[in-house]
Amino acid sequence: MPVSFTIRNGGDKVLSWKKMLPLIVLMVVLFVNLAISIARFNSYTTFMGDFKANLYVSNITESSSEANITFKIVGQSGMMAKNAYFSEASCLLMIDGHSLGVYQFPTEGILGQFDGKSLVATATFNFSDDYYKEISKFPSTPLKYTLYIITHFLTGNHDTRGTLVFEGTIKEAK
Amino acid sequence: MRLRFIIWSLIDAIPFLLAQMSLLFLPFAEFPGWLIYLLMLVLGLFIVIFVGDFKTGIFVTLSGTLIAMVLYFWVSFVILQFWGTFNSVIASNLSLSTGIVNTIFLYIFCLFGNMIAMIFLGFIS
Repeated sequence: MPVSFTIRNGGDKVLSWKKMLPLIVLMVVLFVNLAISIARFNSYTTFMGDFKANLYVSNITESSSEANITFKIVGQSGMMAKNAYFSEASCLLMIDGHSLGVYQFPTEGILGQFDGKSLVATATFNFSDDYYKEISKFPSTPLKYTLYIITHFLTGNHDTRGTLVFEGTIKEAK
Repeated sequence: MRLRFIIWSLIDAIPFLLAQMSLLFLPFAEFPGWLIYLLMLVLGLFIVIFVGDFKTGIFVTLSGTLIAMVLYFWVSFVILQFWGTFNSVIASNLSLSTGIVNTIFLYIFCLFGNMIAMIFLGFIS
């Protein structure tokens, strides 16, 4: 049977290219929109998959009963992401099997400096009383952390919000 | 007659599938959601006008929707499985189950289109 889009029904041409034209236009419009969406979804996936961040201790100020420790987040993006930013970060600290609680990096909507490639954010947290006793074991005892970073990816009119989780240990202050 | 019905159903299924996928990737889309629904209304309208008969048109829309639903499940499954990482799929709220609910709304808009076409066909006959 010959393959043809012209189908006749008792002499009437029922289906032809000319009649199909509005449908083809509709399909092309939808297809272009879908192709843009999938391309953006793909770059978002790449961004979320390739972004890596670590937590460092950059400064320790100790007095008799308390310590002020400056933490630094250093992140690296695998691809140039000018349409991404970070809004919040918090870290769960553990030392010697004891939890020191969750510490939130103070922000006003945008966390640290991000130029599309690397993220740098610093914050100083105060440890006193029992927490000071625990944290004073550092750096002889390594400090374990779980870092949560809220990411934002702007596409079209939409702000896609996600959370990235990183785990690691801090062995020294530098 | 049967072949014509199948071809029309497939012609209806392709744009319907594209619309479903557009809604699945809505956070990344250029079009707003309501425009997709409106385009489905136009699709339902065109289908009945091409078929030239409301009764056949409404069944073509139904069978096209069913074909698209099956294709949609497998195509989106493959895309989310192989391109999407767990984190990004969760974060972007892409889920197949909400997609199925959206399908029902898309189909309702196709039916609205069918009805408008029925009125239109009534006027020109």
